[in-house]
Amino acid sequence: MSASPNISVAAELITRVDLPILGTLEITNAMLSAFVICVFMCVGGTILGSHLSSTRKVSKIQHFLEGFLLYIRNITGANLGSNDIANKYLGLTLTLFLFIVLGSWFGLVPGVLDLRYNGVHLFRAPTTDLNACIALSIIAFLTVQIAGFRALGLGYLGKFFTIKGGPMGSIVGLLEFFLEWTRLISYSFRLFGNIFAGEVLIVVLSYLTKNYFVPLPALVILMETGVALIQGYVLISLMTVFIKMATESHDSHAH
Amino acid sequence: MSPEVYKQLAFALVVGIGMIGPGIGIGLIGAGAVQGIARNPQAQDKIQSTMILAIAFTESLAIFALVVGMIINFVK
Repeated sequence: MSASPNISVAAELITRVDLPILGTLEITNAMLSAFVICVFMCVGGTILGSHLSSTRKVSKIQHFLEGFLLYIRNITGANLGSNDIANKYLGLTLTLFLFIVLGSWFGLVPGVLDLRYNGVHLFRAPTTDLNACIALSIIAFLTVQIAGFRALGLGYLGKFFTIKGGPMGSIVGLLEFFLEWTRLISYSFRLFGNIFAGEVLIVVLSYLTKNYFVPLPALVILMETGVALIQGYVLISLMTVFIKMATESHDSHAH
Repeated sequence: MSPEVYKQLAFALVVGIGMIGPGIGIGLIGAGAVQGIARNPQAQDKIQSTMILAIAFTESLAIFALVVGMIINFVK
């Protein structure tokens, strides 16, 4: 099976950079792509932000952006309980959503993944690297914990370590504590698995149909654009649902 | 059998068996959501977002199986 397509789970190393104190930094192709996307988001956001108007004459792009922003605000608001709280988290949820969607679409642009530098792929969609997915899930996880501590103070720990409900209550609390940590795995594996499986599917289908004129990979690419949107939606809705669960105190919700 | 064959067999078995449970689960969730919407069409928005959330939880189990299978097959 020497002619089979080349698939690697880990991101490939492009170059090493020696930093003064921190040691050697290994720059992988996924890191480079993530950096490109960050620059794109910063520059695009600045350009779009400088063209916004608050008068009644509104450009078409601004209409689109406002609709998009309100859509994200409304779905997170429905999970958080009110739109005012959703406005507070809007910067984070929008950025996470945009980074996941753009980071997954990056690998779907035809030709981008074929660029090579010294025989190594120059680009790779950031969300197909498990490290980037774990980084995103750590951000979501820490947001939930910080929101819980800010809302309830040290009483937040009372959700996990409690003697109120008798022995059964403390066991359930401990289970909740471990469940909290497994969310790190489920956030990151879900994102990584969905996007990476899509890319593998495209590579394998392109390999199988390379001798025929079948537009099958194009159809799969179309499907994967939708999958990326759903993954962004799922991550921010899960995060907001968990924020809601973490911020409400134990006595307020009925058992 | 060579280790390569075992690897591919393990990949196929992990993914194939791992998809059974989540497949049933997603079917049940979809059926429940359709029934709910049919009984109360006004609640469609709420039911839909809850349904997608529940599907995401169920689907993540299938994705775990897929990731494990890929690690078995593609990591040298």
